[in-house]
Amino acid sequence: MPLLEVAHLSVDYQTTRGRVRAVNDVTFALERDEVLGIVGESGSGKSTLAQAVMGYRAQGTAATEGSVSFDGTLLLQCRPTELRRIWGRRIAMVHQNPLASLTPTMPVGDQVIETVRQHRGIDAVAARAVMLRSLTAVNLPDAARIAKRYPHELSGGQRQRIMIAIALSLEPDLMILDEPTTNLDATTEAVILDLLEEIKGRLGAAMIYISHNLRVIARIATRVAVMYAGELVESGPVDGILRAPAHPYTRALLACLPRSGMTKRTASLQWIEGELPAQHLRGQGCIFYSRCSARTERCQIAPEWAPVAAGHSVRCWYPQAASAVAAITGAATVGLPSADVVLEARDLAKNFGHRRGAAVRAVSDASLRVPRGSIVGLVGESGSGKSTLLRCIAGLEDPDRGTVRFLGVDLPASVGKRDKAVLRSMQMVFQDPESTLNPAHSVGISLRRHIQAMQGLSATDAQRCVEKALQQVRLDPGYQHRLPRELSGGEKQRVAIARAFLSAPELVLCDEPLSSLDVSVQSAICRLFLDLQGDDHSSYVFVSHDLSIVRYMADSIVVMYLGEVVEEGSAESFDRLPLHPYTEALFSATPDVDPGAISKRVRLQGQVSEADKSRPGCIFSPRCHLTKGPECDAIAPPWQETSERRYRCHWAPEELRALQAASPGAIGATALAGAS
Amino acid sequence: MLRFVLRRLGLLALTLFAVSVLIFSITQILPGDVATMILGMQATPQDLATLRSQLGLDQPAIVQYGKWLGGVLQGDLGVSTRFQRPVTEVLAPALRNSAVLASAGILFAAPLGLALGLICALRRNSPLDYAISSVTIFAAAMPEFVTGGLMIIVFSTWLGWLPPFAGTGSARTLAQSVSELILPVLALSLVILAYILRMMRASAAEVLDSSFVKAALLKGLDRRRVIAFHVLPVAIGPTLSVIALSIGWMAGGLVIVESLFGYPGLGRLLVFVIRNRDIPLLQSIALIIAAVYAMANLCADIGQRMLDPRVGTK
Repeated sequence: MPLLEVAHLSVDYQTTRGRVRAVNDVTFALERDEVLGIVGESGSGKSTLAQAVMGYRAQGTAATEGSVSFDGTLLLQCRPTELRRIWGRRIAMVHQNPLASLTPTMPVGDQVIETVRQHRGIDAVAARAVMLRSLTAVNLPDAARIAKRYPHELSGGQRQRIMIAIALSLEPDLMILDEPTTNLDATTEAVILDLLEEIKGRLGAAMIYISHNLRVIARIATRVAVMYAGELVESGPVDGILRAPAHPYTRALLACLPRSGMTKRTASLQWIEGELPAQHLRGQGCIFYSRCSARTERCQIAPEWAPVAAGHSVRCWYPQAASAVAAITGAATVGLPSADVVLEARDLAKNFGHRRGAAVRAVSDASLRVPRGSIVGLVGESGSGKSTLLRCIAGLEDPDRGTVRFLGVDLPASVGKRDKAVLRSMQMVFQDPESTLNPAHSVGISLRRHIQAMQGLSATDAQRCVEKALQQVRLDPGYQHRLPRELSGGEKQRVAIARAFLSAPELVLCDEPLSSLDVSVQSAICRLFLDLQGDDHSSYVFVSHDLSIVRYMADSIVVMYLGEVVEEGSAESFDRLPLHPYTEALFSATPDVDPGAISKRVRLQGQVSEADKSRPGCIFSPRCHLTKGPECDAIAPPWQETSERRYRCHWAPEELRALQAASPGAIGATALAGAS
Repeated sequence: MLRFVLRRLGLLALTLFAVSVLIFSITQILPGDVATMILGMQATPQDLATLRSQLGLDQPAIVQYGKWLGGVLQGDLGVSTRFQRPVTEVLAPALRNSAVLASAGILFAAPLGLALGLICALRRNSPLDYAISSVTIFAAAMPEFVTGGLMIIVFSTWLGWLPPFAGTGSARTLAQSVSELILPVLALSLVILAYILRMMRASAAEVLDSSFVKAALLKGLDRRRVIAFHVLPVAIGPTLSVIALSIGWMAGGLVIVESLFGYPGLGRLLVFVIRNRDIPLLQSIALIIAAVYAMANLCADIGQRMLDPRVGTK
């Protein structure tokens, strides 16, 4: 008998605009040793499903139908006291955003202890011993010290380990993980995923792993269920889903993701037109009908589940299990970088004052060169100073040292002192379009004001510009009358991009422009950037924590660590060894959707620490897996040059290549080919 | 924590100094001459001049202020011009009486407000929530003299349960004193009860909706444990500053309630003092009210830091 059987589960919410069905007719079963990955974009109802599976009625739940049978117990029929005996002890949940999910006023150790005592009824001393064991089990060294800390005193990775330690402490039969690594840095995410795999092996617990990230699901799950608009549309073994996706949505979703080795010169990314259907537009037919490229009249009747392979079934009239995702070949862009340089930032440094007196070095002596018509990708973990560097270039931060040379002229540091012509030619696109659009202004007003301020155009000329700009970002002219709240996230980002491109800029600084967007929209925005670049021959600095996107988009890549540039070079050269050890770790932390892609495990120890910045030697050596020891600790590393790249390290290119090629596995299929 | 308290105490001293300057300047600007007030309109100019030099009123304002402040720092608040007795002597009983009334009000309103606010948040949008909320809003919407007057009519005149006045004195038994205090305390604290309740309701509702409360429930913890250890410490924090603010608000309430019930406290004294231009007394009362208010805020801030370790670290 399966551990968990969910049958025809539906959840309705009561909202001010009436009843909304968040989860519709979901059926699945989970065996005792299985890891089921549930993948879905925002609004797919996956978090609601996770809670409903536990029998938890969230605030505003109007009705829950169907049945959830956990080890023979019908959870939806349980009384609260019965549920409380199951929650935490037999089914444990690891939540998204551990900072918000840990009680801020209680030391983290106590939050483990109270769970143990609640269920085991043991005394405080015994519970403390269990707590220390759990903290050690999630690789938190010095558990006794960490236990006394409050959540806000820990790093993101440590907090999530605490959440996992709470879940682990009672050795549950089922762990439900709701986006446990979202908002964590790539290297931290990789370590948490390793930990979860290890726990799975040791504990033998079943897991439901919920994520919007197919790459993460591909790494951890044995079986995958794809969720769309509250319904499961496809379910099967992980290999089957990734190699032979049967549902048009799954196939489209996979085609949105750049694979390793894919660049804008070799392939185009797909995206999914349209958006999640509004509640009242969901008819009797297939839930994906409105966005499906293969829909027919038959699809107006809801399809039944159809098997396509062993354990693999799909809810579609036209399952195409045989056709793997065709790599869309053909260059996405024709723009080629030219020799002249648009932007040259030299030795920029920025310290932020700190309350305790010591300055925080956000950026130290970073230089950046942007050739005309090129995309420079800027990567690094949070705290690496990539956003600060961008803001120094834009003049939003006053750098302490260094110069910004733009179109052959040295610019004043502050944006307020720069010419209008400079402002026109250097524009910025921010991470969160929500906060960069005035909520009280319609799209048209926002754009018109911008163009009038920039260029002093007449009202009719401005109007014409606005319409053209909207057309460029593929928004209907009717959008100018809409307010930001009437737009989806992707549409808002399109408006923000339209605004940046209104003044035909030479350089666009993009600060994580994709990270607030769903995968299916991300690729459309990527395409938009590439098309605009092709048309205008403008240049970009593109900051992102998503390495696969940067490797796809960029012509050259700059890697930052703790405010310093540690490696830079042409984008395609990053497929080849040697790599700076930090870059190597960063790349290996990004899981791939290609099943069977060999991924080397380079994991960083410790965390990014401000204290490392004031070291005399290499700032990365305390976390480096290839450190030479005393030399790295004492002497600042020199730049090592290869024909296509340069990096700061004590290892010379030949030595480093030999070291990295010799270690088991390699960085990915292409890197392997490049190294051999 | 100690550094924080010390720094805040320093700030408190600075605030009180600024307040003392302000109070002194205002009493200087106020129309009416103290000497004329004391001797009456028929006094000869010579008498007035003599009295002025006796009181030091002919000296520059800055010197007068220095003398006054020096006295205050040594516990000498000057001599009441109206009672012709040291201010401390006049103030002490009034201050004691008001302290009894105000503390009773806070001790009644704060716990009740917190408890009712929590209940409302837990039973959000239920009939109970609506009932509690509307009654308290109704009570808060009326000024003290209306609620006080109504209570006198209902409980003293009609029902005859409680006396319509409150006095002090050794002749009273404890039971007598308590029964006399019930109506003034109620009249004084109804408004702040409503404030505290509304704040607690909003704050607790937000906490109840937070992810960490959901996470705590999904750990299988007892509901009571979740409320006591996960909801309350976080929810009370913001409410503390409202309680501190209501202590300041009470100074105004005391004036009305004490006058209404004939209670010999600071509020009634203040009215009398203003009417009679007793400047030394007025200055002292104003300074005391400011000090109490500042202390209450300091206590609230310290309490918040003790409850929530995040406060002050960001």
